[in-house]
Amino acid sequence: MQPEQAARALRDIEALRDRTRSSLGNIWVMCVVFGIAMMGGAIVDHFFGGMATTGFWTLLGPLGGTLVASHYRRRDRRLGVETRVLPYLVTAIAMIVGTVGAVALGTALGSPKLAAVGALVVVAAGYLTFARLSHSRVLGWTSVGLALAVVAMWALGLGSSQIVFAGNVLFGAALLVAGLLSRPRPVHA
Amino acid sequence: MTHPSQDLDDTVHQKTRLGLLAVLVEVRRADFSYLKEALGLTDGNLSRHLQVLEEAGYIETSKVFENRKPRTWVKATKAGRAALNAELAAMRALIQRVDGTAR
Repeated sequence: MQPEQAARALRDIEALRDRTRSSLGNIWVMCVVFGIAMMGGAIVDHFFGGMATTGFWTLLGPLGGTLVASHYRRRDRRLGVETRVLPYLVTAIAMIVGTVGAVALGTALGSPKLAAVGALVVVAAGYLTFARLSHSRVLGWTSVGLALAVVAMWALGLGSSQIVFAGNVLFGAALLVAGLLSRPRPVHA
Repeated sequence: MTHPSQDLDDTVHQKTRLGLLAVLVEVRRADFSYLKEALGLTDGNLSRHLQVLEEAGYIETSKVFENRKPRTWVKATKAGRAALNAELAAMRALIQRVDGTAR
């Protein structure tokens, strides 16, 4: 085999893998659903706070998860392909545990600001993992940008409630846009 | 030291089979129709290449009936994933070797 042929074959293979990933668009529905949920959560938290926010996520978390899972199940059946679910599930569980842990740690240390920033950074890290799993550059850069935005909000001296509200609105809007930009394209050789 | 082209695996190296493994490593499993469309193959052509890969232990196929229609699912095995990675590494080594010689 000539090196030029090898280079061309490598390019073809990478293009085929890219097309497969983008045709499956692993993350777009998840981003849209949870982007809208985060913006809704910000509004609920801002106007009603505390228990209402807990109730919102207790209801919307499983509901959103079921909606996303059912979309991918139907999509898989239609396309004739099954994506790997376990890494996404493990990441989602780690995000929930990490978020609760960050809030608990911040509260225990008497720093609501640390709780707010910690929880949002955990969510950004979770989405970075989703980006890695689905090879989504859009979501990857969005996650990094969001993590930096949260740190900037902290550095600018915003209060915890402002960080929670602005963070959730920003995360929600960014996820929504990232999801819409990651919508699948048809696959052809 | 052997030439990198010696590391190329004839079973995987063939263009269509390389493409099939490249698609299959991105998913948990894919059905016959999906692979046919993704690679622009005919039924007979795809069957022949799948048979070669299955005999080499690089893929597993399972035939099921869904809504009374037959469906063939295809899955890359661990050996298949390793073979694809080895093939890609061998091709990269080949390119690097020539690049190194040119300098």
